[in-house]
Amino acid sequence: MSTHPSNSLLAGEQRGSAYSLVLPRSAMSGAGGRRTAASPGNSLEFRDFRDYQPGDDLRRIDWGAYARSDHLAVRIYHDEVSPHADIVVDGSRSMALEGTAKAEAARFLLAFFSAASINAGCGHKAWICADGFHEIPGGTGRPGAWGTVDFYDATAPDDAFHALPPRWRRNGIRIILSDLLWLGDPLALLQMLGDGAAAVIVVQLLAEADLSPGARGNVSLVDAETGAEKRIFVDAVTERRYREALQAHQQNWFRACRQMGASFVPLTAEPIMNGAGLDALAAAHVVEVV
Amino acid sequence: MVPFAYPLALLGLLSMPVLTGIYLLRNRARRMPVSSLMLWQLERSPKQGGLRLDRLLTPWLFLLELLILALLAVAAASPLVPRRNQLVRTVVVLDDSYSMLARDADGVTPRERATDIVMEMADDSAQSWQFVLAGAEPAMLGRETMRETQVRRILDEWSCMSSRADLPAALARAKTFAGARGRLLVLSDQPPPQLDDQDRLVWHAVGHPLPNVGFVGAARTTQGDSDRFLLEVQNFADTPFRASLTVQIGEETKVRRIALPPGGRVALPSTTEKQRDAVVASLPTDALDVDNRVVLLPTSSPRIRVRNAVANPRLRAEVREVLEATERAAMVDASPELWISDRPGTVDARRAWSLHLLPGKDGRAFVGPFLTRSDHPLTDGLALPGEVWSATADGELPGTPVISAGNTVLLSDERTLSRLHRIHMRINPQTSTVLRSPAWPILFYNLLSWRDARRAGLAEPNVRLGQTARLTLPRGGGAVQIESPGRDAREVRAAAERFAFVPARPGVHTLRVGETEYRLAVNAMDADESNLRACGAGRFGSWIAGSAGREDYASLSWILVLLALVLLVAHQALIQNRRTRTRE
Repeated sequence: MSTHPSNSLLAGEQRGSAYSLVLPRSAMSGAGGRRTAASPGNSLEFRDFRDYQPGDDLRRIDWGAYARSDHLAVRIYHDEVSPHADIVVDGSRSMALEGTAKAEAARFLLAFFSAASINAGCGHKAWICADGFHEIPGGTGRPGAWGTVDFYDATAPDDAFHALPPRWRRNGIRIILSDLLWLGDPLALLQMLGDGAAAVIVVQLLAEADLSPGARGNVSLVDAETGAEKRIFVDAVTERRYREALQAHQQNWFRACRQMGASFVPLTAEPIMNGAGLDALAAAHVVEVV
Repeated sequence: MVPFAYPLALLGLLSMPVLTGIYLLRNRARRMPVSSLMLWQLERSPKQGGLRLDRLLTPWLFLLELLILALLAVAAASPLVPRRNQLVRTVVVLDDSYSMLARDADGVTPRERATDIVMEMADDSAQSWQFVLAGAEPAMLGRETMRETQVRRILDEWSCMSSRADLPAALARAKTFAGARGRLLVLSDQPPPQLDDQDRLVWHAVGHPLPNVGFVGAARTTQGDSDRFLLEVQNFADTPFRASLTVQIGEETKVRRIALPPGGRVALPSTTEKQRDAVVASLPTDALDVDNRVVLLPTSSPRIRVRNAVANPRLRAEVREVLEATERAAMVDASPELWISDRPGTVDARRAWSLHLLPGKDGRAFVGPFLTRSDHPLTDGLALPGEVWSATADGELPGTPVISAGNTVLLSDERTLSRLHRIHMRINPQTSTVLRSPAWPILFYNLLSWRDARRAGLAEPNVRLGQTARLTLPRGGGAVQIESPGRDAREVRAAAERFAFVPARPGVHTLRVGETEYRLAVNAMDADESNLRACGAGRFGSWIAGSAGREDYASLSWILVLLALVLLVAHQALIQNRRTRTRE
């Protein structure tokens, strides 16, 4: 399942062009945008009257209404907003697990969400989380023009916040693509992700090998990030225990996301690269078909 | 070495490497990259520290299983140990032939290897030892003993100087000593022929095939004023032989180059002036030295001193003529060894043999059939059919009849108390055709040879090893002192005038009778012994043959099976313990 990295980006962009990111209301912020916000602003579109308050702009007083009613009232207009999505991909080595489609799927989803953001009228910026948060070169443009997206680090995203924190736009949508397979409190990361964000979407990308190891007998496990080895004997009991641990870990993240008001969507890499596997995003109202 | 009743069952030990292979394959771990080890930290540490215990268990189980397999395989082979309350008699047949002295590339002889084998077993106090030498004839060596030091002393007497080894005869002798319960051990440089499975016999072949060149024949004769000798050399190797043959006669040494193809044999005749010195011929040193040297002593044999006292002129002339024709008679007048006369009472034969011719008158002509004693020296090669033997038939001839015609004894042999022979012959020279036939000179030649053989001294000064040397004593019986190479002189009492002696080793032996000394050269020249290519090594046979062998041994199988069962229980306990910990 080895494809050129740019092919995955192009495939993701192409697929994402059929979708649009679902924007939450709180994402409608930022002046000078293409959308009319519900909040009062300085656009030319009339909204309503209200009584004059000392300090109001005298230019907004409706003098015609005063001449007719001898009552001072102020005109209120709709505001223009500019939504933004920051899409972060986990740059750790586990995202390029040997023998799986995880790396390709991660690039695919990065480009998918970029294209969906464009369709939603969002600005976007692509980030890679590896020993800090780094902008992907050309990450505000179309995915086809991006630089390389490689998975080479061993730093967990919550540690990356301290190494090189991101400069995200406030009130934006923050989407994180990661396998979430590190030890740490999900709430801590979610708090850092959600600080000043309109919405947080956590997409857990796992390979089929992550879901079900498949190997039986004497196995030497090699940690993709640290290189540490562990020899165990895998039988049905061991597999069952692994799946239970994974499920518990996912439940942990799900509860933390719910607590923080974030969306949690688990995806599997191989079906995505086979043309399917994105229904969960639509089901979670993260994207919608245009 | 512990014997096994069923040694083939030891093939069961092959299951051990199979088990090891299974464990190696089973324990071989497949490498599997994973995103993180965090979800694989599955083992919970029991209070006793179970992870380490679990890792240690597998090697223990493996070792237990290996041990159980080994014990079961050995138990199936049924190792046997001698019962301590029984004395085991071992009769050892020792190959006494000189091929046992051949040295291999390491300088070790089969005799030394055989000695080591015996000494390794001799420290067992529950064994008794009896040795039988397998030479040309079997002979006992020492007495039965249980002591290791005595065994060593007996083996030191084992010289390996026989010209051949009659192993079947020695084995038959050994079996009579061993009886039904005893064990037989054969030590030889040759592999055995077919062994009887029912014999409690172990055959150790301790030889190695080796190339060898040696003398296989040597002879010396004296004729007139010249000595003739013949040397035969054979190459018992698969490669050609080129070397120098050295011949020393007195002070003179001659070197002769010889070349022999593989297996080739060459006869080298030579003639010199009559010598009084020994001829010593030698070849270069090789695996077997004993056949690389021969000594040939002078073989002068003076003519028999004969006094022709026949009165009848015609008969006298006939006798003279035939004596000269034999070339073995010296005509003398005094101190003869043989008197020939036709007049009774004229022979002074107190110290000489005599031939009494009785011509007679008007005799009968006997044309046969003639009855002859074929075992008598006078009739060797004698043929009388068709001849006419005329003789007077009156009176009896004294002595034992040698040739008769009907009831008439024509030739008789009378032996006196002083062991001298009086030959009596009736013959009429005028009417007998015997005097014109080959029988007449044959008769006189046989008489002179017989007389020569009965002379005091050695019949042959040069003999092969294993051949009997015959010495005729000057005055019938007496003490003979024998000096042999490498041995102390010994004295043997000879009961009769002829003394037979089989030299035990090669070299020049000296025999003394009174003041007279006789030298005897004994040479090792046996082609079968010099041919070392058929030698071999190996252990053949078993002392566990049928029920007779087993009675002396107890089987250890039950102990081994019991041990295996104990280990099996321990194995199961370990597995059960492991399962319990896993469930926890």
